[in-house]
Amino acid sequence: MIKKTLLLIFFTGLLFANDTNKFNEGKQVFDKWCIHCHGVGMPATDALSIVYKDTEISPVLEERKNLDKSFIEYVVRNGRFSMPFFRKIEINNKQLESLAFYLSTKNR
Amino acid sequence: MSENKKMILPHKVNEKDFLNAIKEFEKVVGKEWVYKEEEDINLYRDAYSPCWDEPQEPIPSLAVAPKEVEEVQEIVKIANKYKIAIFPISTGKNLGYGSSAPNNRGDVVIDLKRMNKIIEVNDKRNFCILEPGVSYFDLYEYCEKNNLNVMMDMPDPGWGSPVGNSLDHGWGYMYGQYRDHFGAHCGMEVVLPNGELMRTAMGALPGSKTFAENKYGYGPYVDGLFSQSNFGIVTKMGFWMMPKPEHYTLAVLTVPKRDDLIPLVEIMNYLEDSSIIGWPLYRSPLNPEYGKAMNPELKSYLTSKNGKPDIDKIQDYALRNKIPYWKIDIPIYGNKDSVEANVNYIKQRFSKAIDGAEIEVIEDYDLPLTKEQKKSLKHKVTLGIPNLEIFWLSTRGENFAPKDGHVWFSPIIPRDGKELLKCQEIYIDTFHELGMESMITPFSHPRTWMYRAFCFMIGFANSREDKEINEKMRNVYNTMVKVAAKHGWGDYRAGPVFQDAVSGVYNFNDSILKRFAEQLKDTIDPNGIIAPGRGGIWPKRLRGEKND
Ligand SMILES: Cc1cc2nc3c(=O)[nH]c(=O)nc-3n(C[C@H](O)[C@H](O)[C@H](O)COP(=O)(O)OP(=O)(O)OC[C@H]3O[C@@H](n4cnc5c(N)ncnc54)[C@H](O)[C@@H]3O)c2cc1C
Repeated sequence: MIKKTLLLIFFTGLLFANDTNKFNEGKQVFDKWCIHCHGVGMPATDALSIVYKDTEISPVLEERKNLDKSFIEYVVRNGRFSMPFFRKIEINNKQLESLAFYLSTKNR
Repeated sequence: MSENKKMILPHKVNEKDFLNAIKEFEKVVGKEWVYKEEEDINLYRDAYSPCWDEPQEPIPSLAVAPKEVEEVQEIVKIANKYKIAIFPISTGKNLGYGSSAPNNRGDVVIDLKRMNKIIEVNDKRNFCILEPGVSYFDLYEYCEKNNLNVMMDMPDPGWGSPVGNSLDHGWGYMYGQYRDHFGAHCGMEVVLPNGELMRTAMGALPGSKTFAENKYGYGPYVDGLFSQSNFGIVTKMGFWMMPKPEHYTLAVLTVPKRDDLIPLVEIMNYLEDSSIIGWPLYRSPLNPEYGKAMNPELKSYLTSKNGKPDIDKIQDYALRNKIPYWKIDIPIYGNKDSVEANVNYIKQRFSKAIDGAEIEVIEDYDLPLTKEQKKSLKHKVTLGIPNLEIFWLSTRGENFAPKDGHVWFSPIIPRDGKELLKCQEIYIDTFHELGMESMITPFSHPRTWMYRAFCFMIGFANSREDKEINEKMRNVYNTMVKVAAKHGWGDYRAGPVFQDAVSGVYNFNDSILKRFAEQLKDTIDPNGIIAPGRGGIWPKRLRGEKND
């Protein structure tokens, strides 16, 4: 029993460590590729503030509470309006997953 | 490759050869760095393509990403073996002029983004030597981390690269000699179409200590052959950098009348060519703030004279409402005393020559800037700080939907006020004849990156939804190329779809320039493997086939 509990704590710890790494990697990707348009006062944020005018939704991606993981992944690979899509050499699948994890869990 | 999907093949290459070539590419760079799945290849499409989803849209058949020069050489040899067209990109951010897509459907993209070594930055002799994958962001970060006292001139978007941008004749925002990015390069290393490695100028001297400092070495200057063309894959370039100034000021000049532009440009040219000022940003405050609608009264005057603008009414509107007709931001570099003296001198020059000219200093800083100052800087690029803020120009406005992107039409005209006003008129007439709302007004401003000429640019919107919009745009673009050429104006740069049209008007003496380039192409690249059609230069095996 004790052994089992210890094991569980060990694995949960690992899981947390994994999540922390993922979260940090996601933030790094955001700071390298996204913040220049999606930071406070930046053009994509200005555009989204028109979209979300009179709603509770923040135009700043890092402040969003309800961002959907698969939506983030879709937009990075398909672009949206004048936002181009990103090649895998720029943001690889693992980094993209981390980015989506970061943005979708940051304010949960 | 997914089994059921129709594979895009390189032009004139059969599937069996292509699959063999893929295996050979994989051996050179490793499987991981050969992109062949449709979902990966699609990421090399031009997000701002003027022919999105049409059969001629240039989607590559494959992308290969080498890390070392030797790998590039091997790739070129394989391409020769199978006669596969390959298309090099550095950072592949050429949005508005082709993005990361090749010139033709099926060309294999050679993505050099992984070749990202900063070989040297020297802030005593003020130069750097870079590989193609180094972005402006990367270089800036490196210089700041290492506390280096130099800054790099850059285009508005910071995610491109000095190598890629300069090879497409890109421009920037500091003193003239740095703004010309190809002109500010010094020294090149190139993989030639047969796989041989060449270093130009001083680099040709083994052990030379001035690769990035003396442009010419000895003998003919060949570097120009590798820009906007297809004679090799550039794997290293040197660039001249500007030392950081001690002091920076941004002054704003306003003048009340449209015709004031004529003396204004003359004085501005004098100030620029004497290195008294940096990059002058011309604007007209008659244009509404981005996203806002134009004042309806003013808008009505754009078509109130038989469908064309009534210039007297527009001028009267500006004067009545005390809106200056032109407004120019002027960055001045130096030390505190010299900058102050220059501001006074500039004030004197303009107020003597133009009634109602006013100058106001809106930014005045000692360097290094604080974090806050950097953040609030009106034109970050004038102090070499990379960013992406320019993308505002295609985003959603209060009064209109966002654009999918834009395709630049970029003719060069003389740096002369009268010529600019004439150019406005010709464009307005052309739009009128085409039965379209004019994208040019009597207060459209020149772009001033090329320090000895103006560019009078139009950013045509493209669509990823509506093919008709794109088709119409391509027609207008091609008409504009011809109209401009008739008046002695030629584009400085163009996306793949328009390169034949644009190069086609540079046709002095039975197109001798093109014929000369083709002769070189056939000699240097007999299999025609490198970027066929780029710059309007086609190899013999494809000539006449694609460009009619
Ligand atoms: C909103 C907006 C603003 C812009 N503002 C500017 C601006 O201020 N100034 C400006 O110059 N541009 C501007 N551009 C255009 C473009 O985005 C930049 O010029 C960008 O830097 C080009 O992309 P890149 O540096 O990644 O070059 P790449 O895409 O890597 O290269 C450009 C082309 O050069 C050739 N090439 C690249 N590398 C090699 C190589 N190693 N060997 C041989 N040939 C090669 C290829 O044909 C390639 O397509 C703007 C675009 C947008 C959308």
